Amino acid sequence: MESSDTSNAKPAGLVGVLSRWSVVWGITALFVVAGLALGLGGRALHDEGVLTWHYASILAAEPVAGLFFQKLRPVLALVYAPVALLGFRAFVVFHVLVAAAAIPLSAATAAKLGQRHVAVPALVLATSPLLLMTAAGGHSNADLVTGLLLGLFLIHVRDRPVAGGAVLGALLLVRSEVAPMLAVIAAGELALAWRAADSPSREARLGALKTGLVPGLAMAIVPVVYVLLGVLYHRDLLWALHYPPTLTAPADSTWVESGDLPRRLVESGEALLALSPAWGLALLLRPRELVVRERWIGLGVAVCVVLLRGLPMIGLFNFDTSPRYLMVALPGLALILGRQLEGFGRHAGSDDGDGTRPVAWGGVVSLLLLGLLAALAFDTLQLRTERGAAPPLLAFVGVWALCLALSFLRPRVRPMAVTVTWVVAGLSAAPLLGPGTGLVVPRRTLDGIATWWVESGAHADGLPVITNFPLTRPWLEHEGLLDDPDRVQLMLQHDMVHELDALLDAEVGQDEAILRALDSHFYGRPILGRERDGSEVGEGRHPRDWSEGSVVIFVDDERLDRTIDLELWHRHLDIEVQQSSGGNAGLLIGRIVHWPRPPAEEGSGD
Amino acid sequence: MTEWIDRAVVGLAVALALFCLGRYAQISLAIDLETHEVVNEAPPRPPPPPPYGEEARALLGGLEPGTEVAPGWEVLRVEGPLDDGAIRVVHRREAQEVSVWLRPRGNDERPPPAHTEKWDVFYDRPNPPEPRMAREALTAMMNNVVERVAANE
Repeated sequence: MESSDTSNAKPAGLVGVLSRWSVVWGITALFVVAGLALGLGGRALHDEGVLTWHYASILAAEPVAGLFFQKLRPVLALVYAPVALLGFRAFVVFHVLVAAAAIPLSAATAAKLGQRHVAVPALVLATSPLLLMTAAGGHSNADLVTGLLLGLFLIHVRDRPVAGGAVLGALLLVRSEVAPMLAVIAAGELALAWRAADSPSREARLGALKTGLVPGLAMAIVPVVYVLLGVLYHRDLLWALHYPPTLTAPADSTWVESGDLPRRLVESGEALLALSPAWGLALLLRPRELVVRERWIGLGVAVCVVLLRGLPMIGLFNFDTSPRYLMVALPGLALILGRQLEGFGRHAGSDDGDGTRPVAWGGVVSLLLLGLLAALAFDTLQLRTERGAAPPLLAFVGVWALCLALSFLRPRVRPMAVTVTWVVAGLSAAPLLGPGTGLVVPRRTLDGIATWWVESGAHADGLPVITNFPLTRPWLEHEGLLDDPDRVQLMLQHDMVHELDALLDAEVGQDEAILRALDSHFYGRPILGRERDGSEVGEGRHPRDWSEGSVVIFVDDERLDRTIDLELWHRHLDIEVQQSSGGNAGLLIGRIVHWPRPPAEEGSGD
Repeated sequence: MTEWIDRAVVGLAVALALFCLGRYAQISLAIDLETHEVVNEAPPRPPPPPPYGEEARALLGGLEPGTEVAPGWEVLRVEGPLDDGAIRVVHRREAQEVSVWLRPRGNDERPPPAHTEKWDVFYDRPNPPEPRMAREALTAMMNNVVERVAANE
């Protein structure tokens, strides 16, 4: 393992704090406490997070059919299946612990790369709003962060290139956006091996071969074995293509509109803030300070960010714009910032004493980059202030500029001064960053449901509940208001029904097995419908299928009127709550009522 | 030369930091003040209700204010036809009001809970929402209007 040119002597004083493992464990413990408070307190509840638990439960109920249903993210579902059986709260506890494991893993990997301030990458991870929210919510994005760091830890710290490569390769079956990062990591290791092949030392050549080639080859193990086993189940050589993890639907147009680029850049800058309030420090980066392996990791971070946020701007690809997709870049960002805080801003007259050439012009480049960001933030000021909020990016450009100035302090206090500045700024801005994660709990809607549920007596009447809102059941259960969860029926939106049809292999009975498991392990017993059986309205899709007084809770998103005949449902609905939420989906709560037909309709049916 | 550049970078970085943080604080405070101003504005006085036109009276079979249509619920007033052709029948029980609306068939994007040959029939939420309104009362109000309109349209 290569290391930087930094001294191995233990630093003392304030800087020494950042080098202590006790600090890393303290940060990890605080992260666990915060994650559990958010997760068990229902403040990170999100349908995509709950879905990870459902997927694991489905796999536990139907192991074979579930294992070869790629939509379930089968590798991850396998990990969580035993815990999923213990219920959602147990799952949340385990998920927070798994995410928290990324923190010491990052510190150990950073130490092996030769970094002294092992607490810095730990802090980058622990202060990531996205990591905290996805850890507490159950999202697989947090598992991706832990998986990436576990793979790097096994390869570099434990010297287990096969195991590490296998872990990294398995992540392809968890979240596909990891592919570019894995490609860059594998390319970096190969480049290092290529360079070492010229070494006169046989031992060095073999070592380079081991760390350079083996992880890349091992990345193929899990996907290849998985696909081959799947052939036996699906009886189809190309099953992985015929039944992919997700539909490849044509994307909406994402071409940049005239004058739109600054706004999109600022949006991306703020999405990165949700990833880490320290990301702007990467603009102060001196590549010379990084060891070669860290440069490849930095390249991986840049490639991922450009692919996820940049290419949609020019219409080449279309990814989900949710900031949590950026989490694939978080481990790499933590590792390069860990190195950077040790040495950046090294300039003439400093007492670093290693004789390196002054890099004063680097400070100018950083200042120009920060100035550009500030200009972009100012460019969108008018728009943002009209919406009632000052852009957080503006404040953080100020913080990073302050860090740039602090980087010219004496080396002994520099890392601590910079770290304290961005940690304090990040923590004080935490409320601002919450909405930036895109994972805010829709409390207005959920409170509206819970209040009506209690006041109307619906909690005690035992009548069926028909909803298209995935969080209805999790929230009522979390609030202790749902004695019989089986009452809740989920009206599957038309696109979900279409996806199930396309991704399940009916010829081997996979659809029946998965639908059987969905009955017990989903947001509610699924109501399928007309999309599934051709043109006919399926059972449960007509209001007359439900008894008088049945509860209907609809969130009127744009898909609902393509899922059911809304006009028909309104005619059979005694609406009790109708809540619009300023541009967002509205809430509609009512009870099924079979009105007497008005005279004009006598003899006609609906 | 290098030292000069360093000093310039530090000075400009501090200036940029102060400028960005100061502007951010200024915007945040200004928004707060504006919000208070909006909150303190008095709501405009509502206009008087539109009159009960002869056309509406004929359509509703001479329905008069004071007619009881459900236990405790009586017609408070009828408004319209309004500019868009709608007719509003306002019902009242103590301090609580509920309106049933008639709109020319197909003129409203929302699906009506009931309709006649030429009219869509809607209702508003009770105002105020409490006490809870019996479903039978709402059914009686709707049916009263639907039957009268179906007989006279």
